[in-house]
Amino acid sequence: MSGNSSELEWALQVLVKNFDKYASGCCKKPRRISKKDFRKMLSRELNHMLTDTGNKRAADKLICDLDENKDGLISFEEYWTLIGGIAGPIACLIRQQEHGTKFTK
Amino acid sequence: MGQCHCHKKRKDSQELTDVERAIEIVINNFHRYAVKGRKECLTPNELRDLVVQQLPQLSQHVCSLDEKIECLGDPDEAKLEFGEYWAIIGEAAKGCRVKK
Repeated sequence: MSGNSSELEWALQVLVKNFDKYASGCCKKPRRISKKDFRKMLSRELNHMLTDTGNKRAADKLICDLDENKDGLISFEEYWTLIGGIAGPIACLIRQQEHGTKFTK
Repeated sequence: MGQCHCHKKRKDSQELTDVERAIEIVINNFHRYAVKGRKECLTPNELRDLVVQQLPQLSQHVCSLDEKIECLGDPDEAKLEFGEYWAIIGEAAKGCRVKK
């Protein structure tokens, strides 16, 4: 993509590239991330947002809930849903904190 | 999930990874456009503005955006939560994969 992407487009590309960085797949099969690599991704790329990613059981639960078709592999759609699940509560929190500062002024 | 912790760290953007910064940008855009009424939500019109203005190159991949927006209800009154916004942005993101 050309250099005049918006900030938001850059952000989406980062998230897509991040999936591809950890995903593997051979020729015709769509790329997937294994649970093991997914855990690695969480602890490397989201270590500030998920402080408990070191907790294997928590990460497993997250992946289990996410893996809708139970094949042990995470598709792009499943990956996207998970990141959304992480981002949603953070969005609420940021908004609440903004409200909080307004009220205290 | 240690959200309190992350929010504290958030101020020091040096420490964030690209992925974390990207997530923040997606969140910030949502908040920037969610200005009418309940600020935790976007109206369909706000969503359209966001996609058209912030995703000029990728909006073509959000297939039938107008139709989708019509289905969301009153363009100035209906409320879209973060999750719905995230799903629509996800389609644009899938678009960047196809493009490669």
